[in-house]
Amino acid sequence: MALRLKRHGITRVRPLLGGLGLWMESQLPTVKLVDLTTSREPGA
Amino acid sequence: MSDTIEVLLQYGYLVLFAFVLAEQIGLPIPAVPVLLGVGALAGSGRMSLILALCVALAASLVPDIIWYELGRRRGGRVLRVLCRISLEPDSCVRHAEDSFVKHGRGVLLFAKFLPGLSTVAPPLAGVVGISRRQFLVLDSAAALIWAGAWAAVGYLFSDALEMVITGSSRLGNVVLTVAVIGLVAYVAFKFTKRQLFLRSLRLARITVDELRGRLAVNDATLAVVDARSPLELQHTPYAIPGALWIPSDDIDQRYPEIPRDRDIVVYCT
Repeated sequence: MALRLKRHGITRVRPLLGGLGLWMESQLPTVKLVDLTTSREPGA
Repeated sequence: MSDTIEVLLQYGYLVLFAFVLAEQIGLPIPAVPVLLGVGALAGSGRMSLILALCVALAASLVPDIIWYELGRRRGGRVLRVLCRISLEPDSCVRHAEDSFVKHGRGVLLFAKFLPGLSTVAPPLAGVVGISRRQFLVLDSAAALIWAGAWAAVGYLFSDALEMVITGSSRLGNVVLTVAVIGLVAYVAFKFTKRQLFLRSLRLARITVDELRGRLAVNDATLAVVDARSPLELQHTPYAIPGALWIPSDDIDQRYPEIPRDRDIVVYCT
């Protein structure tokens, strides 16, 4: 994913250490997806 | 008669078993040249095509069943381990999942013809819950189709292949040395390139604590991208608040949606 973004000129890529798994294990807030086709605006 | 043909005649079935087994385990050792050679020898009546297919089937089924069972019991972790052997591990798991979503269990029938997919298809079949009976039937058919196709090519062009093998042997070790050096150089180049890229990514990683902190203050210099596949989303229907869902395979079409003037935090499962 990061390599593909780099190819399109998006270089400020920061992979999340531990991914969603670690985020959820850390009891951090998540949103439940009801519509898998909906994209949400960044920061919304 | 060339040394190569002599070796194949004397140890052909053993060599075939070893190469097919190695390839199906996931090692970057191609079995196709051996299948072609065995097919060629069968074409000239010096080996049995039926026996060769049985040997290839056995050599293929053993590791496939093991990987299938590991996939059933250990899930996605097995795929990630397996894909580390791949020269393109980033796309390895994703492509395998997408193939199953698009083609269902029928993907097992042609997976062996596709580099990368052939190794991850058995454990993925276990992960997605294909029954043992169905897996055995499909995988056996796949092994016979794959081995049979290449052996048949060798069988049909047996005269030409023997000429190539004999000619290569006349050149002594030159051809083999050049081929080996070329292969080693290619693998080394891909490995080095990947390691350098991974190193740069490791330096750029963001921890969950840092991300949580930046989201808490509504940091406008940050955007979060959820890169999971539809299959992964179905399995874990939760996301980090505010994340934009762009599956990895859609990046080439949807990259304009990603702001370039921000830090882009990317996550998978």
